Amino acid sequence: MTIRVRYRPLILTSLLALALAGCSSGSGGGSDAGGKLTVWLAVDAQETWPELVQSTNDRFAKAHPGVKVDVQYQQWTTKNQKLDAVLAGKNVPDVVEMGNSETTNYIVNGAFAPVDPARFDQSDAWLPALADACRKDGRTYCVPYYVGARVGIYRTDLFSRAGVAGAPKTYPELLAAFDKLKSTFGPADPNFSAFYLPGRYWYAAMAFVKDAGGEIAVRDGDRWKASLSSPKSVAGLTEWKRLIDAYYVGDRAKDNGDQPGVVGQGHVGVFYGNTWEADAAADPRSGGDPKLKDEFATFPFPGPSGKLLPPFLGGSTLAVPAKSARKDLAADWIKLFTDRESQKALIAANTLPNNTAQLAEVAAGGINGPSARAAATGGWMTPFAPGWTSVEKSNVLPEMLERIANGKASVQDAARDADRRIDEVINER
Amino acid sequence: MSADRVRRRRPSLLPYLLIGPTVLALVLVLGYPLVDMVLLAFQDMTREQLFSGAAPPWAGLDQFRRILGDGFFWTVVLRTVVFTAVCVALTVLCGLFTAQLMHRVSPWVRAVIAGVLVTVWAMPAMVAASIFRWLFDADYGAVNWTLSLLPGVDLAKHNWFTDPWQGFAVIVAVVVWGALPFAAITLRAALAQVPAELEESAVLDGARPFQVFRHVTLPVIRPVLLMVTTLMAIWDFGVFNQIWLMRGGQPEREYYLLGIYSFIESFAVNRYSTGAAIALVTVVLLLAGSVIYLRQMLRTGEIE
Repeated sequence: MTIRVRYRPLILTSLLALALAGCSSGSGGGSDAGGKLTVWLAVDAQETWPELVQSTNDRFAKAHPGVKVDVQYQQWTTKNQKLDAVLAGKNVPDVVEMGNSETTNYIVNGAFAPVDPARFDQSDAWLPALADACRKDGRTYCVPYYVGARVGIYRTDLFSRAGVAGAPKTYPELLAAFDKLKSTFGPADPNFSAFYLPGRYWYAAMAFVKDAGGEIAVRDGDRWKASLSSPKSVAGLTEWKRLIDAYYVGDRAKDNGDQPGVVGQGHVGVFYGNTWEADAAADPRSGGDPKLKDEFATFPFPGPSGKLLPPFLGGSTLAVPAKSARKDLAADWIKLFTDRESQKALIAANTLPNNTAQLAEVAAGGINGPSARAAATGGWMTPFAPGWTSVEKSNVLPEMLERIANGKASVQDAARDADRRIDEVINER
Repeated sequence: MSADRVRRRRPSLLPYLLIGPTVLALVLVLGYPLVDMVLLAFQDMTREQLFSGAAPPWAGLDQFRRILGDGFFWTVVLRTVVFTAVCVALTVLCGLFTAQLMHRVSPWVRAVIAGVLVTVWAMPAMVAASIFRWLFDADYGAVNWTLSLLPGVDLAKHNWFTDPWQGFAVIVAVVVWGALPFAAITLRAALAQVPAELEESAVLDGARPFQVFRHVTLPVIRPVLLMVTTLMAIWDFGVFNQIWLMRGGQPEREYYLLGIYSFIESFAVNRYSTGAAIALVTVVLLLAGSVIYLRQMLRTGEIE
């Protein structure tokens, strides 16, 4: 009995030690697995082209038997915060998908290892919107993956009921179609938008800035300078505001995040978006209406300048973190994932390829044809400035647009404020 | 004999063993980040150092010079102070009213009120903020719909967050709503300590209800009232979740409070050191506020 009393503290201690050991091994473990390649892809791959990931892994397994590929899918909204956290440590993924507006900041801060473009299929025909996002001082730090270009999407049934012949080809035709939609459906439906253009949808607004010859920011030697209050940019923003006033009904402080769901409610004639959003608007999973299944068609969106409205070429690239221990294997996986075969699978999934050669293979009459045509015209990119991600993440553009859309500030004043805020961070690493 | 030895030794060892894990956890979870944050505020940490693991250069007081010299920072400080004052005042007032109500109603009504309060208390701030966001949604919100039923009111498509005054009214409502149960239940407990015969004799002496409250009730519940006020002030000064969620993770500059501002500087603009400096100033301001309250609280203790 005395023995039991004497040893009780000891038993307690060892129990605590066990508990602590249990905690620590649970949270920190699994750092080093030999022969494993970790790949971070955005959820798009999981949702839209899972077969491509599978076939790439199969081909990779043949070339490198014994190397296990672990594909982890990331949400766009949280991916970079997670990436920052892991890049600060040692245990990093070997391949990371990066949006082409996100890469510059990581490249200038030395997060990615350079790659040899010659190693990858059709690297001489890579789309500039993607390839330029990967280059810095003559070296390449990531590999183009796919691109998207926004187009006009319209309700064919509403068009014929309003007596509009077909997809508008010029800006005046477009405005005439809006007017007809508005006068046909507006009086009976107070929620009807001939053109859905929520105020915080900055990819749409900036397309009008570009169309008018304006810029978000211009490069001056080594520095970037915001240029939203230049006369041309202001002209573009003014035209954008005019369209909201004339054809958009709804909350002007919204962005395009739930656009397919809203369009699916049936009170929208035309909207500006990615091709897949037409499908999403008829898909109940994204809030759409299945009854609208065959009622959408796409068209290249004409701009006020007389040319096509320059679309934002949002796309993705694949990079190898500088801290990866398997850079060579990582590059091999990327090579397979982005080669001609893989790009064909992307085209089949209604996505645009990473190179100009295969852009021509997108069926012109298909739903993605207008998008391919828009992408081929050039489109535009966010500035490849070190601090661009800071500009995006501090919501400078949506806030400026909301103030303009709601009439809280004139175009000129809001743009000047935004310029000042952009200048504060755009050159920071 | 051996049992004797153990009995003597046990008190010297066991308490430390028992408190050890707690202290260790506190040092690891709170102490280390706190020290790191203070150091960070005096450095200039960029992503280059974050990714490479190199030590960031020392910057002395540069970060503080930067934020203290920025007019926007002072706007945010003022906004945070006013926001806190309004939230605390409303919470304590509503809490006091609810407590008085619970004090006077029949036991089963009291039980119902207590049940409702506990339910509100059990609701996580994240969930509450999301639900309020839906209630106040511009297109489909129940609040706009209900208010529009009133004659002469048309709030269809009204966005409550376009005007920051209205937006903050909604946010204050969420914060006060969430904090009310704690205030009400604590103050109700304090009211139960007021001797009924004291109140009765005051009424017999001709005191009006407010005079009874001012001269009889208040002195008794003052310590608890001070404690509730202090705690509320600390919580409301650091409000983050409610604003972050109600603004969809993209708060406009008009909605920045110190917590949000620090987060944005750190993780959106990647000025980690500036963010740390703002957080440090926030803590110092909070401490200064708390010291005033603590001193008053101690003084009240001395008088009694």
